[in-house]
Amino acid sequence: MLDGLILGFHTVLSLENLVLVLAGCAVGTIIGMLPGLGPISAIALMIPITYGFDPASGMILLAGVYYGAIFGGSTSSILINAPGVAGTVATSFDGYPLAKSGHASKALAIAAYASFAGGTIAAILLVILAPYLAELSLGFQSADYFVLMLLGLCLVAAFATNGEYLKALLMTCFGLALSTVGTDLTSGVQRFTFGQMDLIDGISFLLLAMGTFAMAEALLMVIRGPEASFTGLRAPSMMLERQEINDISPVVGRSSVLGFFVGVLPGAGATIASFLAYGMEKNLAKDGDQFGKGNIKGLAAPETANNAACTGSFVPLLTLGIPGSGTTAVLLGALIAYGIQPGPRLFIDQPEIFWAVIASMYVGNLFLLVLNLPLIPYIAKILTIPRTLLIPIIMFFSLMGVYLVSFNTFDIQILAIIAIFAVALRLMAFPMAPLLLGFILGSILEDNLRRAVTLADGQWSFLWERPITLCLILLTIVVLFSPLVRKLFRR
Amino acid sequence: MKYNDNKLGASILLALFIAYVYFIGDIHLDFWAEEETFHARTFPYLIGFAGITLSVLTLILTSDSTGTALPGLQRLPSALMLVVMVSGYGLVLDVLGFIITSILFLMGSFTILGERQWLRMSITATALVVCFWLLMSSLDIYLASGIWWDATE
Repeated sequence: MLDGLILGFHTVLSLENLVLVLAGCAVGTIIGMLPGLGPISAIALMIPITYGFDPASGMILLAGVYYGAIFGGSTSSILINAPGVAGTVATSFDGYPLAKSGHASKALAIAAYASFAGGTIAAILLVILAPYLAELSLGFQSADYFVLMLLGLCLVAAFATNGEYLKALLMTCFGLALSTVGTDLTSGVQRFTFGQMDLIDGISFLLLAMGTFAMAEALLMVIRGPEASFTGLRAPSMMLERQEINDISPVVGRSSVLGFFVGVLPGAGATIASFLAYGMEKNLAKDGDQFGKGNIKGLAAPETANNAACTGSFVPLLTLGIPGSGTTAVLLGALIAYGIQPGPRLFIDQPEIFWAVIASMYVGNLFLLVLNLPLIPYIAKILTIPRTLLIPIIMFFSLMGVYLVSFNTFDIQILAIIAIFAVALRLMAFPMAPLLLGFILGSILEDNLRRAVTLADGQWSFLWERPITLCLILLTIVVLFSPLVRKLFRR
Repeated sequence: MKYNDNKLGASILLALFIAYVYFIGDIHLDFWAEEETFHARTFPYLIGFAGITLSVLTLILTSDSTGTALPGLQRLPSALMLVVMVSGYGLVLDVLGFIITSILFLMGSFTILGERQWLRMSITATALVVCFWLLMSSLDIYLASGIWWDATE
C-alpha cells in the first residue's frame, strides 16, 4: 500500500501534473460557482481537453475539476443562496444566514477549511479501507437502500424548529410528489404531464432549487425591504477564534467519517451525505435551535461531508467499476475513453493510475485551500453590491441556471410559478429544505422500493428479513418519533 | 394583517394533495401492469395518502396562535413585477436572443427596484451579460441568438 502511495505521489508531483491539478481546481471552482453548471457539466466540458494527456494526467485534471466544482458550488450557496448542485443545498442553510449577517468571509473560510479537512480525512480513509468497503457496499440490497433513503427523509426533523416537525414532513411529501412528475422510467408511462411535452422529462432539480431558494430569496428580499438585506461585510477577517475552532473540530471529524461512508454506497453520494451530516449535528448540538440561523457547525457539517463523500464515491468507481453518482459515471466514461477498465484489476494492472488519482486528492485539496483562501475577501465583496443591482443579478443567474440545463424557455415559466409558490409558503414559515430533499430522493426511493417489492414477490417482509434492513428500519422509527419523545421528556 | 399561517399553508397543501390523488387515476396502465404489485400508480398513491394525512394532522394539531404579520404588502407590486419580468424573459428569449433579452431584463429589474443611475445600470447590465456570453462561448455552450440574428446568417 505504501509503495503504491509513493508511486502515486511520484506521478502527481511532476511539474506537468501539479500544473494540471492547479488548473483543474481553478477551472472547477469557476465553473462550479455558475448556477447550472455543476461538477458533471464541468467534468464533461473538460474531458475533450484531456484526450491529449496520458490517462493518469487526465484523471488528475478531472479529479481537480471535481473538487473545485463542489467548492465553487458552495460559494454561490453561501453568497447568494443559489446552490448550483444538490450536494451544496445543505451548505446554504447556515452559510447564507452567516453571509447575510456580515460574515461572508468567515463563512467562505469555514467552507474552505471544512472541505479541505473532509477531503483529506476521506482520502486517508480511502487508502486504508478501499478494498474492504468495496466488498461491503456490494452487500447492500434494494431494501437497504430504500430504508436508508427513508431514514434520510425522516431526518427532516433536523430542519424543523420547535412545533414545525409536521410541516417539515408535509413538505417532504410534497417534494416526493413533485419527483413523480414526468415519465416513469421503469414502465415508460407518463405521470402528471397533462399532455405537455415539456414535462415529459419531469421537473429538473436545479429548476426547483432555483425557484425555492435563489429566486424566492430575491423576491423575499424585495418584499421584506432593505432592512432584511445583507448587513454588509462587518467582519472581513477570515480568521477563526479558538472557541470556533474547538466547536467545529469534532463536527468536521464526525462529518468526514459519515460523508466518506455514505459516499462509498453507490447511488447515495454527496447530497445524502451533506443532509445526513447536517441532521446528525443538529441533533447532537446543544445549540441545535440555532441551526439555520448562521451556526458555524451547521455550515461545517455539510461542507465537510459533501467533500468526504466525493472522495468516498471513488471507492466503488476505482475498485468495482461502479459509478456511485452522476459525476463518477462521467468519470467512468472518461476512464473507458482512455482505454482503462476500472475494477478489481485496476490495482494490479495499472497501479500508477489508481494511486495517482488518490494522491491527487491530497494535493488537490491542498491546492484548493491555497488557491481559494487568498481570493475569499474579493469573492465576498459581491455582497457589497447595492441591493437594487444585486437582486436582479441573483435573478439573472437563477434564470441562467435553469435555462442552461434544458435550453427550454418553458422551464422559465415553471420557475416563475415555483418562485411565487415558494415565497407564499416561506412567508407562512413552511421550510423548503425538506421539499428539496424529498424531490432529490423521490426517484431513487421509488426505484429501490419497486425493486425490493418485486424481489420479495410482492411481500413487505423485506423490511425485517435481513438484519441490516431491520436495524435501519428501527433507526428510522426512532428518528421519526424522536421529536415526540423529546417533547414528552421535556414535560 | 394577522392570519394563521400553519392552517392556511396546510389547507393549500391539502387541496394540492387531493388534486394529486385525483389525477393519479389519469396515469395510463397497460392491462398486464394492473396485475402487478408495484406499478406506475403505486408510489404516487403512497405519497398522496401520506400527504393528505399529514396535511390533516397539521390542520388539527398545530396551534392557532402561530399567526404572523404578513410583511411588506406595500412592496408586493414590485415583487410581482419582477415575476412578470422573469416570465417575459422566457417569452422573448428565443425572439430577441440572449444578449438583448438579458440586458433588457436587468435594466427593467434595476428600474423596478428604484435604481435611477442610468449610466451605472447600463454599464452593469451590458458588462455582466457580455462577460457571461463570452464565458459560455469559450465553453462552447449555445445561447439563443434570436430569430433576427439567425435570419441574417
